[in-house]
Amino acid sequence: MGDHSHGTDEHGHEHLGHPLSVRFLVGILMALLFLTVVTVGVSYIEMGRTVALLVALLVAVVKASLVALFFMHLRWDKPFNSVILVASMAFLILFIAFAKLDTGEYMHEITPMTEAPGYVEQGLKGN
Amino acid sequence: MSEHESHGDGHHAHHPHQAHHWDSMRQQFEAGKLGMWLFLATEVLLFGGLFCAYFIYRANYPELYEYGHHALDKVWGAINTVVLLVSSLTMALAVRASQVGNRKQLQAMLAITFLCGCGFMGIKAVEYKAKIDHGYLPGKLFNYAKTIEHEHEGHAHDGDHHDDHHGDGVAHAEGVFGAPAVSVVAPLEQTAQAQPAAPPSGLSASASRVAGDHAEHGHEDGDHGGHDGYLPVDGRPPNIHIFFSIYFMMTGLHGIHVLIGMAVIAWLLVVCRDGRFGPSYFTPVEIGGLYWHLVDLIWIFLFPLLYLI
Amino acid sequence: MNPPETAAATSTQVAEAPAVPNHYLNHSKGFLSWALTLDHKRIGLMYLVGVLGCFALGGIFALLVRTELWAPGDTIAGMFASPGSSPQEVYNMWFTVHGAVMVFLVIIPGVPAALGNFVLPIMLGAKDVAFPRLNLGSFYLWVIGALFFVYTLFNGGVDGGWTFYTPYSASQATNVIPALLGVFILGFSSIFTGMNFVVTIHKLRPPGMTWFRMPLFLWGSYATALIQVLATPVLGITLLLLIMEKTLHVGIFSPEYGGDPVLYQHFFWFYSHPAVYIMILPAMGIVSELISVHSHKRPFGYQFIAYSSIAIAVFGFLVWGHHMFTSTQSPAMNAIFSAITFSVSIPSAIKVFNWLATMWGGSIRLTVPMLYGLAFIFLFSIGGLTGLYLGTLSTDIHFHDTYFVVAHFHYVMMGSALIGMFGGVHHWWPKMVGRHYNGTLARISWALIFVGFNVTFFTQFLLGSQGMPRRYYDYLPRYEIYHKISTVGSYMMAAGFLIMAFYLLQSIFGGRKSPANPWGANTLEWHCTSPPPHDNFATAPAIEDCYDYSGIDYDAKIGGYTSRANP
Repeated sequence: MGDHSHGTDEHGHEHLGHPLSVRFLVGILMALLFLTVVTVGVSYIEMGRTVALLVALLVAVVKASLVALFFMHLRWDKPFNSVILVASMAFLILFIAFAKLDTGEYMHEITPMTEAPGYVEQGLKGN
Repeated sequence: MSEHESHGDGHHAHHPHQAHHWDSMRQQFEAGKLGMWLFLATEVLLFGGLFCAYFIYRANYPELYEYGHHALDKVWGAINTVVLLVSSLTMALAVRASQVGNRKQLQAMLAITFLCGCGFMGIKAVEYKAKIDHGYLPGKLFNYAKTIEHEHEGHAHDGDHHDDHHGDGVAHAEGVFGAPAVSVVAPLEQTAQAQPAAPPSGLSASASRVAGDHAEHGHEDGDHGGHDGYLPVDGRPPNIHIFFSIYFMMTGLHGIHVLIGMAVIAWLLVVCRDGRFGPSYFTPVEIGGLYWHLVDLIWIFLFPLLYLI
Repeated sequence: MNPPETAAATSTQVAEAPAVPNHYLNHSKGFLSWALTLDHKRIGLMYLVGVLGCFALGGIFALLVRTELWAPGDTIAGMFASPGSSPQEVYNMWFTVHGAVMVFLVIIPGVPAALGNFVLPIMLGAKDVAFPRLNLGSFYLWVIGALFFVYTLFNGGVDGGWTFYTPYSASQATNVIPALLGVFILGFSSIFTGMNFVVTIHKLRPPGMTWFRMPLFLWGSYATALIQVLATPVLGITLLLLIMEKTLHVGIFSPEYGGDPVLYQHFFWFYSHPAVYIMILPAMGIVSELISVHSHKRPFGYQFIAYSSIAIAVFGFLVWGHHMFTSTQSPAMNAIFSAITFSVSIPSAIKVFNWLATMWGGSIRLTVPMLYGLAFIFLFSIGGLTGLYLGTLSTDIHFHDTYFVVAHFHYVMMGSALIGMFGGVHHWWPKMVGRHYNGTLARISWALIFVGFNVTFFTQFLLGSQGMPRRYYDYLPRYEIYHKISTVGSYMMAAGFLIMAFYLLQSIFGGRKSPANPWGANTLEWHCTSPPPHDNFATAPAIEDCYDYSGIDYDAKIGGYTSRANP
């Protein structure tokens, strides 16, 4: 799978890389393509809006994990690099959650729009 | 005085690409990766704001998405997903090639990745053109007059043509109007004869004219390639411009990042010709690769959220 | 490159320096050697000049505002009005520019860019920051952002408040787009600085300097850098969205286009609250150094101070809604944000107690940097405590958008963050330019600033609690006496800063030369010459406990201190 070569080159400079085998990388792509087929296929199945969203997000998270862990090498990197990625997503989820909770609470007080604003702007008379 | 080797002043066989303030190539390499991951975190949060807008509007105005996402062609979206996934593989192979010092393979893989980027942007152009042709543009650019013209040109479909390809988007729309969606069949001859200056029936204040009834007149798109993603005027939410604002801003910002990534790859193609990248120094390829993978990561989320649900 | 006797010269610096290039200021000459420098010290110095210049600019607008408020009705704004803009609109432009310049061009970059860039690598015994070219890039982004602001000034200014709330900013405010673009670019400057500092602290610590043997200024800088990286991009996208709203009416933030103005506030404050911790954490880091060095005593509770920096950074992300208590934010959210706001005061209070405990039993010298450190503790206590009144839902209903808020944030942003920055400037000045400033003038200046600050802003707590709204051009006669007192205070401060400008410039051209270690500190930057050599150290210093003062002795011959471990 991975070749942990830590040799040195002719100048005595350390080999820094951790080359992965071509087969392994192609295998990851196959998994990603398979998951793409899954997510597109599932979208043709009737299910509740929330369920559809959760399934889509779940598949996306699995695909993203494959890319991050293997293509982006996080599986073998120092853990702090993964911490950075996870932390950024955690703060993002926090932000979305709080904003959504808040807007949800006052939506019922908002007067719905009846006429597209652009409609009037473009000189098409509304009703 | 000092028991320690000072930073970087032991001048023995320094790698030509080691900067003066680093002790070793490994230290420099790991610092470069750490720096790039920090930058990727900022990109996640930058796009995150747009994802926030997406989720907020999805939660509060579900009819926007149920109605609007029919304008997006799943097939093109899926092809673009495949293109980017393949490009991620070729980018990883390029990094691998630089790690083992295979310059020819590095160049080939970088070139293929670049071409994949071109392919992605090409498909994007096709998709955008379709939107422009229909007048489905963000904000104030949404061309209502053009959408009415389209209606006149005979895109109107048979009233009992039921669309069942798009999940449950039909039956559950309530949205901010509060009333459950009621299907009202508007005779399409009426719509087809509407004068450009008169409001199409879809914009009346009636609460029933919400996403739910558009399924009656829905146009099948995205179940096979080449459809034009037409949205009927009837049943169109008044704030539909917001859906396209979100769509264009998310895919547009993503597209800009694809272009930036392609520029980085082009630069790598140019500088790798002198054979500078090898097992002891390939940092620019590695961190360029990280950037490209992030572009792919973002699309992995964009595609299902915009096109599939 | 350095003559061998320089190693000895660090501790026995002669009054007449040899004319050969021996430090970073004269290492190379010419405009390009500065414009294209990768030397973090030169970059830091250029930032300092820029930041102080923008401080003067923002200060001028502050004086215009305070002068206008001397009396009800039009006082001076009418003189600047034109057919296109009424005196009220001129006034709106003044407070907007004052806020935007101070926040984005002065306080946020301030300590990290100007002082951090200079001091951080040397404190680590390193030759430079992790990414020197990125550092220069940060600087130029700052310059470009500043130019965008200068452009708006010449183009009629920008109004609506530095917070750019919709719908006003999306539909009516003037010159918003150049200002927003300027802030967007400044955001990247901040992000790149943050990235640089995180990697520098992770990767360029010397062997022997573990995380908990780092100077506390580095903990403050590290926590700040984390916030810069995680929070600033959200500002970036907010500004882009606002530009889209203004140009394309996309319908996200403005009701007339279908958007939600409270959503704008969520987006804006998600960055801007952590931003205030970007402003305060480095200053707190400086104060930790000042109190310890000038009390000649190890910081009390080092680990608590270190952890509290990280705690403040994390908690700072969880409280943004306390800016929105009266903006129709839901009661549930209000309660959550209020509760977390209370908890964020705890790590800050821990720091204050630790600083006081550090001084207790120490050998306190009332040097000018120490005076600034003491001023910080006093002013931050007031600022922090008044924040609790604002964090309490019931009282905030009364105080929101009054001068109480204005007073609170000036106590923490100016009375704390900027005072901390000036304390750092005075502490590291001898290191940076190799010369001392006039201590008497500095004390007079300090007194004018400290007293003037309290006169200006304490009065505003009274104004606010009695109902005077903020951002108002006119007011009822019963507030007049308070406004007059406040304006007098602002002029006192201005006098203090003018004196500061004078003696700092004077020191550059004729000040008494400074030894390597004038204050008796033991962090690494005091073990190189003042000014430091181009590569920071002629020979690498021994890494020891940076808060152990037992090996530091005063040497009257050189007017400074020497270290037995690092002679």
